[in-house]
Amino acid sequence: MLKLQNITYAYDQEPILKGIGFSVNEGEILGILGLSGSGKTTLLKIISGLLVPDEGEYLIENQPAFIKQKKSDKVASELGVVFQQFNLFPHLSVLDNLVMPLRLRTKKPKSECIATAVELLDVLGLKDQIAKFPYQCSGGQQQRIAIARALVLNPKILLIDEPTSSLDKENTKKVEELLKSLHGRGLTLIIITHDLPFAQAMCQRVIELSEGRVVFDGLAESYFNA
Amino acid sequence: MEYWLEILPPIAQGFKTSLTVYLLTMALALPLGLVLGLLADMVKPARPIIGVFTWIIRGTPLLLQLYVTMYAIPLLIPMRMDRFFAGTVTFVINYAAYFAEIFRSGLAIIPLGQWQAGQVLGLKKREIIFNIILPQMFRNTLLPLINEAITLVKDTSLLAAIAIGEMLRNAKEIVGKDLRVDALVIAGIFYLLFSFMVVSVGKRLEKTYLKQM
Repeated sequence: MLKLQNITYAYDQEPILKGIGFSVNEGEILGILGLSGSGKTTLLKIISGLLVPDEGEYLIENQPAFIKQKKSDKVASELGVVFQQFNLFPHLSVLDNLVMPLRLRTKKPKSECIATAVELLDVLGLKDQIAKFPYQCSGGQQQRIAIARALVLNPKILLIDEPTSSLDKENTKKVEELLKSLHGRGLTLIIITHDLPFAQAMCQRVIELSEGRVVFDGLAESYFNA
Repeated sequence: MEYWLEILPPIAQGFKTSLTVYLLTMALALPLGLVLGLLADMVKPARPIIGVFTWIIRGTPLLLQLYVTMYAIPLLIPMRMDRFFAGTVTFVINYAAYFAEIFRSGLAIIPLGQWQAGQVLGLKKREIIFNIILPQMFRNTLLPLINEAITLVKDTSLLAAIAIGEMLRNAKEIVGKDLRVDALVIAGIFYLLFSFMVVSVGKRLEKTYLKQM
């Protein structure tokens, strides 16, 4: 459902990604691993459509993700993104963090958007938080709000960046359970992380990046048992 | 008391002029400052031009700018300059420059992640600006804007320098004529009440919009 071929990208002529290629299959949990500076963040930005690659092909559901150097609408409709810093909208309530994009994207009536958002927040255990503002929520709750916002547009793939970086052990366990339950509902997951135990617990397949290249692409089992 | 009632109408008339210039300045300088602030932040080629404009306006006294508009421009371009028009235009330009800088700084502190969050949700640039960036910018700039709004109350007294019959000028004339300071006391009370109203509006805005930050 997502395919990258020979993707290159350079910042100020310094190559960051040097011919990245892999595909993501429907229903899998793919972990993208690598040390700081390996190109994970740049790759996340390309997959989410925030950066246009210098070269290479990026297909999403067999359609180009970029048309004439511009992100295709397909990227935002197929892909939900959860940032490491969550990037919640601080001026909006938890509910409005979901309702605002949903209304703008779907043009559905507000009452319908509110109902959809409340239902989703309820599934994620956030129904009590809907009237609060993001700063009034804990780190773990903020992450779930960010996941809810990414899911409100009903994407098929969830791209999540360093989901455990700001969480304690207990919340890491909770996010693991949550992501597994979302996967159980048919969502494809791409997890960018440097937390190896978490990746081992979550991922079916692993890609390791090193200095802008894919140095491993295979089953998680063989990666962690190697 | 009788004397106060006697001198009140010309001072109140002057207050009306000050208030008119105040309201016109706020109504015109805020949108102009907003446009300049947005251009400075988002349109690269506009940045140096707006930078020079704000440097000149913020680097020279408002009083000098009033003299330039009222007396120097009619010397360069032969025309009859209306005092009220000259005063209002100068105030609008001066305050627009300050507002532009305030808005620009309010935009600069919004994390890039807010733009990116809008982008990955598939929102259009216009939707991101109006639903994510501008509301946050207004919250970021509310306090400095309220400060400027209070400063403007007092700055309106500078209109006297180009012989506009604003409140302080009228009060000063009464003092010179009657050799009593009552008119200045009344003008002071007017300024205090005016500032108090602006501060109250500001506090209400703060309470409404800053609670969620």
